[in-house]
Amino acid sequence: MTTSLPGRTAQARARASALVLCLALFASCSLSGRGDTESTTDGGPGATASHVGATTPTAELRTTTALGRLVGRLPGPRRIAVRKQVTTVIDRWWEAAYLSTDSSAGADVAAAFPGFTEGARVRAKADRELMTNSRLEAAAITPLMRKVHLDLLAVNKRVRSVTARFDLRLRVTGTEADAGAKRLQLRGRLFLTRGPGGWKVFGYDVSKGWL
Amino acid sequence: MVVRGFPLVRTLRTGVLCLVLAVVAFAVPPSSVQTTDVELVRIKRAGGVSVGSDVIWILAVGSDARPGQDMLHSRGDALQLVGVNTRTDSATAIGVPRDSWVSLPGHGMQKINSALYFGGPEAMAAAMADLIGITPDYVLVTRFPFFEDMVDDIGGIEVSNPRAFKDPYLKKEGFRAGRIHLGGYDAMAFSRIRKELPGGDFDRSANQQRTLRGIHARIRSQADRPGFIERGVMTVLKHMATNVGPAELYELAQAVAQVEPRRITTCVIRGRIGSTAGQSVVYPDVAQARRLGNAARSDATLGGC
Repeated sequence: MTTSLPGRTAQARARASALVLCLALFASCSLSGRGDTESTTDGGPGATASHVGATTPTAELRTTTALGRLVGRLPGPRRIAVRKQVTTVIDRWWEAAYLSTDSSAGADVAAAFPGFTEGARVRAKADRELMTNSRLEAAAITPLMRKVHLDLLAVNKRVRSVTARFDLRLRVTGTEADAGAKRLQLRGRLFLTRGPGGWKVFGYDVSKGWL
Repeated sequence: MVVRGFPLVRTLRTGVLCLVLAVVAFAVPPSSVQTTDVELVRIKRAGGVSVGSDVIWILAVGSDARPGQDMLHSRGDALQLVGVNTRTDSATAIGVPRDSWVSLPGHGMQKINSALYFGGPEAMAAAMADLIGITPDYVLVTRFPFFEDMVDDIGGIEVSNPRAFKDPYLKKEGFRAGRIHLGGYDAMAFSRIRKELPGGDFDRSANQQRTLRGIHARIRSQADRPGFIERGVMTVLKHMATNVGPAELYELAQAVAQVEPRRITTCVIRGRIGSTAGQSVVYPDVAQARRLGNAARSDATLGGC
């Protein structure tokens, strides 16, 4: 019957649509389940992404620092300068708190926060479980990712504050009793303003968890 | 109907099957590849800021200055003394009715809000210190149109309104009781309306504190959005009269963002309504004001009002 043909077509279309939806769902599920997803979302208004290497004593992996959100106007050379300066501050903390074997042995928590203000150092020492690897028993700690994005507030063409969003991932090789290697992720934000001695961390919001 | 319904049912069934398959495929990895099917990962989190002393006191003043008037020498319509404890991530607000009848050095007995008119932010801070016993570290003065812009800039706020009320001039349709969303204008009206409130000036001050809670909650929920705090500081720099530098404002903003909502306590200074010199005034309960000041001075926490 001619009248039934459109019905069948509609059925077929509907079924085809459902299958397409199904495939799309499968595809999205497969993609979302694969590997790690990066949640850093830059590139908004005023954002530029350029990278600068910093001196990192540990292995060859260098910290990658990109400019995130810039509020205000800032000349290019000053953008480069602040990236270098803040990267150095963050690297010093990472080296002392998470990457040095002395720190992992819990040797010197007091020295784990170079570049922090006195008050922030006191708070960070109280949060040592997250802000250092001081209680981690590990034979070796290897960085897998060192990424930083800087959100800058610029007034009169000078940087007045920096929010450093970071993602540090480490491979932690256990001691003999626990020889397996696990991955540790540290993410969060550091809040910096410039003092007489350069950029100082006056606050933080850090999370730590095993991957 | 049946002819049309049948394929719909079948289509739905196909869709549901697909959905189930998709969910199963997502939730259960192939067992031949992975031995761990489910992991519950504990993420630990810590945060804090240090901006000098543990407790910062900020006097927030809503000025009634009209366009073109000097905001720093106008009358303060909203007066809230806000303490932030960066060590405990707590905060408190002590509200002062604007018509509080107090002694102003060199001017005799006056309404406390005229301290700003007579002597600027310093005199306003001194008047609050005389009444409560706490000298603010900062005085932030804003006028209401700019306050509205600021609330709009952060996307509006949510407040818990204990009672419905309205105002024929500021909000004819009124505010309903319960959890309500306020844009910039509504936040201004909510903070200014007084006449229909049973407690008058005291209830208005409490509403201002509800507005402050709403602003704080909004800031806290958005603080980790890239650039949010920086944009907020820039807005403050444009809209507020302040001699505080951008870096210091950024530090203050981060300190405020760290405050935990459940650690916020508020009180309004009580008083007796009366009239003197032909004007309606509030005779503040000075003993209560001093008691609140003593209780909150060192830790920005109030046990009760």
